[in-house]
Amino acid sequence: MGINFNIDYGFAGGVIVTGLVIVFLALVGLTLVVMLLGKILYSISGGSKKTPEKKVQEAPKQAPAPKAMPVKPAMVVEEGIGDEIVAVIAAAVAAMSGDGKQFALRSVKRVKEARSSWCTAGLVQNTQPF
Amino acid sequence: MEILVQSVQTIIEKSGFVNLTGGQALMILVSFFLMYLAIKKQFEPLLLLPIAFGMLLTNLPMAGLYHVAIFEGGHIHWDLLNEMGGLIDYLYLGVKLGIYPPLIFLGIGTMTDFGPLIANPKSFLLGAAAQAGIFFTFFGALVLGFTPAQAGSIGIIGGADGPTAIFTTSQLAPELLGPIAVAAYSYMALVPIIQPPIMRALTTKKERAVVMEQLRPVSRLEKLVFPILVTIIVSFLVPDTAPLIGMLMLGNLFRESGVVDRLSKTAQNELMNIITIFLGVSVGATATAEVFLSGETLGIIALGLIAFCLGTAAGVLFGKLMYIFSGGKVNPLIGSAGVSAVPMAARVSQKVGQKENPTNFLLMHAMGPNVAGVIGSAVAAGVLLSILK
Repeated sequence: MGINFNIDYGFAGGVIVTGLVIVFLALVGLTLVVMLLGKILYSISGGSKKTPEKKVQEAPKQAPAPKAMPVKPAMVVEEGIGDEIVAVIAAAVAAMSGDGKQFALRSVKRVKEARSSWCTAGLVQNTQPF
Repeated sequence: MEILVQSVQTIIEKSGFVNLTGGQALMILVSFFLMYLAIKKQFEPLLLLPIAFGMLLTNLPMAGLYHVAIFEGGHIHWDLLNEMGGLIDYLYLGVKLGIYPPLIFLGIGTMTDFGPLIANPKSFLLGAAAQAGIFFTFFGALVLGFTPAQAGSIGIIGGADGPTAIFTTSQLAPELLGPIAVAAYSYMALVPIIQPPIMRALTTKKERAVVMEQLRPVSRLEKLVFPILVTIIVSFLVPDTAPLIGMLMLGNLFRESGVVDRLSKTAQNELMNIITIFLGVSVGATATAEVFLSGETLGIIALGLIAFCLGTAAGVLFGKLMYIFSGGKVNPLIGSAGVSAVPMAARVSQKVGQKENPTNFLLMHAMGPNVAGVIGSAVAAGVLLSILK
């Protein structure tokens, strides 16, 4: 076995081009057919159904918190987050930031994630096999 | 007393200790190394372990489990098979007659969810792009002095699909089956090591961090029609690939129909496991010292790696193209999954993507090109068979 550039380039090129063209042709054909199939079946069965509404509400109104630190700017708490939760968050921050350090919560809002932290943790566990 | 001495002498003369050749000893050591990789490193152990043991069995001196002469010249010498056929000679018939790879595909079909591909049919294009490695390596193999049929079999390693590589090689270049199968399965096991550097080198941080839109739900009817449609379209276009695609899609129809649960379970468990044992042992047995210990094997292993890298690169580059044309909606990392190696290559896309953005989940998006790659490499195999056989 040795390197030999004296090969039939016409034949080699023919195989490469034919191969690539047919593979692409087959898979482009399948792409179009599957797209068409999806559209047809959607119009037959699912067309009349309503598309599921987006669950995540856009731009939640941010209501100012009743009071937190008098002089400082008012804390912004996202709608749907109760006072208890704010208190718990404040306590958690206080516990983690060490003794005696002063801090102020300026804003409390939900992280814009499609999944919950538990869901994310589960997904990470299941998709990291190595 | 004389009889006793004579018997002992005969036993010694016929024993492996006396008849062991240097090549056989070396091959036995190679089989030990592969067993180590399979057991300790868990490199595709389901196939590598039977392959390694088949390699050990075939290189046992005087055991006569497998005879190259029976399959000499690319066809089966039935008279020799009747005369001296050993266990593995009979098992190898399933490879030689092209029975095992399609049956493995049947099992794979029952385990594959084509949903991500149906939801995003553009994934088919990535599955096609990643097959480029096959054809460029074909050229490299020709330059290295392999015959066109052998070059086609070596190129198919780049399809990263074991059964397809075995199916193609058993018909085009059966004499290279051992080295090609070992190279194909070793590289498939090394996907998590080979692919990430190529993926990172060809993409920017911004591209790797792209979060793709959630896939649409796919109806049951779509999943039912898909295998039938693919079988017809692909088999009409490339009839040589009908055994592989036909069985893959039959398995998938078993799964999606929901009415033949027993058949589906048998195909993906018992049948698949039995065939895997037969296939592994008999393919390993083709790696005899005379065949395996040659410069050709080194060439095949090097070319296999090139095929794999080129396939990965082509997939990622096509992914970049889709990134540009989609206005940044497609993460190019899913392109590398187009080389098949289901589901490992998709997991690699997921892992590399998650390094850039820990909340990004590309797995389902990568499964589309991944299963498209299986169809793509089967089509590529069909093309090579129809031109080179």
